[in-house]
Amino acid sequence: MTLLQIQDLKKHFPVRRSAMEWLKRAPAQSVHAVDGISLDIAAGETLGLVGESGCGKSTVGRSIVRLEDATAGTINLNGAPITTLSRGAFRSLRKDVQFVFQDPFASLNPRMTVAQAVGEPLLNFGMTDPVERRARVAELIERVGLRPDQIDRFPHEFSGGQRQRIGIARALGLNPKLIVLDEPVSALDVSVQAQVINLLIRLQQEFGIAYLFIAHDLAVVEHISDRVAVMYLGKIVEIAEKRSLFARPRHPYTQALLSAVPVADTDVRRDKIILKGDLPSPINPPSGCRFRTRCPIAQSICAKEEPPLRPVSAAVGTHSTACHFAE
Amino acid sequence: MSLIQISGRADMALLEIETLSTAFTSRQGEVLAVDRLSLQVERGETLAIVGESGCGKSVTALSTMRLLPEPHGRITGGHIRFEGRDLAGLSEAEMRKVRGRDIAMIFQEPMTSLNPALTIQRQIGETVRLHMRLNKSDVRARSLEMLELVQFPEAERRLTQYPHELSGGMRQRVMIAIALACDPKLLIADEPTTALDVTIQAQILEILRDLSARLGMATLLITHDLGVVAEMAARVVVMYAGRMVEQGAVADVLRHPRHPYTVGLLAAVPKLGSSLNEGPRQSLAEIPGTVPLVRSAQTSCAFAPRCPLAVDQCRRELPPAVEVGPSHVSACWRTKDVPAMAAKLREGAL
Repeated sequence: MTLLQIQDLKKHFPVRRSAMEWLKRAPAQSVHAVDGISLDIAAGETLGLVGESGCGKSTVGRSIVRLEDATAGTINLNGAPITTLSRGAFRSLRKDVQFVFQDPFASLNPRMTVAQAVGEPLLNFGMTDPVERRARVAELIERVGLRPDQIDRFPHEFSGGQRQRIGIARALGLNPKLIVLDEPVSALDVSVQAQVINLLIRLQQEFGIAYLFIAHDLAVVEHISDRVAVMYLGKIVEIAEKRSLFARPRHPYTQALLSAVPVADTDVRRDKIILKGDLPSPINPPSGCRFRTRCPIAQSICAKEEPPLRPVSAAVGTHSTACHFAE
Repeated sequence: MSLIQISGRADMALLEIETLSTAFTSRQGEVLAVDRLSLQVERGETLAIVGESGCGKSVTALSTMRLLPEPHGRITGGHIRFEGRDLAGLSEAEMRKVRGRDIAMIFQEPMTSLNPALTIQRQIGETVRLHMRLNKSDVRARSLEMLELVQFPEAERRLTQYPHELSGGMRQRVMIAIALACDPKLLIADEPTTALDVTIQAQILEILRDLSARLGMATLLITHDLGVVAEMAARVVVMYAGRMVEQGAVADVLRHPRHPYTVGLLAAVPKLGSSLNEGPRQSLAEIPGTVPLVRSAQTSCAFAPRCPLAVDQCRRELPPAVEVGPSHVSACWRTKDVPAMAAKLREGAL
């Protein structure tokens, strides 16, 4: 069953013109952070969203919880149009979709105790009895692997991994159907990262929550996801069942991305595809296929026609890619 | 097994760190960041130091460069011998002649280590002028040569650009160009690609690998990423709580780890391609707890509280570094039982 459906989502950020540019009447420009993406997430599944900095993956996540207002396109949660609802009407939907941020040091108010931080959403959604709320916070805190006697402490008394657990407890409080996780483990050391990933998987099995897992670490995304979408410069270039994607990536960008990951095994000597150059500017993205400026197999058609996301043969499930030359 | 003889060897290593201790004083009291660490870097080799935040790997690098924020951070014991000369005892003026000339360093965040107010040309030229006494046109030529060496596109035009006009990958190339401008014998690279995207990381690692081979330069690579270690280094030192816990050839350490911490680190990281194996997804191996704060010289194994193999002896006595294979060293009382533990962990039985 489809829980979340995103259709042709666009988010453009205006670029401020300098006084000189304004005087010269330079045209207003905008950063095309997300430029027409469609995807859906089924109830209880994990969709991994990967890509390098600036590809727009975080903007997609932030649009889902209306931290950004979409420029165009629609996002439907259980049939309700998130993007067009008024702020007030969206409030009732907030229970169903929660967000966990990357930096556990910045996403918790340093002056609120755990009981206050985790209890705030509960209070906002009608749990006004302080005794009941405290009991619920204690239960949540235990669920994420902290001790209930720690709930009167402040964020600075916890390590990074523990703070991320608090953020997860806060997101869990209202029994959401979807949690958007924006780089939830990339600020953590590997031993702690494993603890948090295992916790997320356990919670999903227990409560049947769907995850949108946004990350740049491909191995982590492969571990946690059911399906994976790869973004490049505001577009989805490939989306597939994870086994199909990792067994046979079809888009040259996905192939380069996978080959670039350093592997901790001296026996595995893979041929690397080393991409030339940097990410082009999202203000004036290249014509046609956006990846063509760095693509090892680009032809003249790539500059003229933008390749649509189309189905290709899949080992498991479905597999779509946006490349003129993928079979 | 025999105790390792660490001091005095006839064929002298390029860099020899011997029982180095480095302490920091903070409001919370004294913290011992590095506790009697010994390691050697041979001429031309790449040695990696790997560990999690707070293990002392960066402090080791800063101690070697004598860049500690004195007086809060200071070397409290041991020697750092570079070509036989003890850097720990040099005056600041003498040390300045070593930095940039014999030993160069690149940092994680190229934006904060470049001067935002100076052009690329000025910043590369500064090192060259200081150490090589070239005239103006030679300085420019050398700067250009260095930029081309790090595969900097349109080098000639971009000599007059400022750091903010460059991307992260390009800034890191400038840092490498500055570091290599005077043909150093040793390059210390502290998490050189951690702030970069994976495709840009691949470009930078390729440049570093190519240049250290071509220039015959030794590299001390500091990283938290065992994947980067496998790609770049011949030998690796694993650090935990300021001490070396395991050391050896990269292939040996990654494939046959002999310290429980190394085993834990390897098992905690998801492997690329893991979904292609048959069977259900295995959960990642967790190392319970967190890294301890060390305040004074350790008298027991600092990893014992998190170690599944720990016994009373581990909590009472500091494990010495013992040889477990050819040039493979582990500081663990139960190192003999580690392979069995690693096998169990792979089967998901631990």
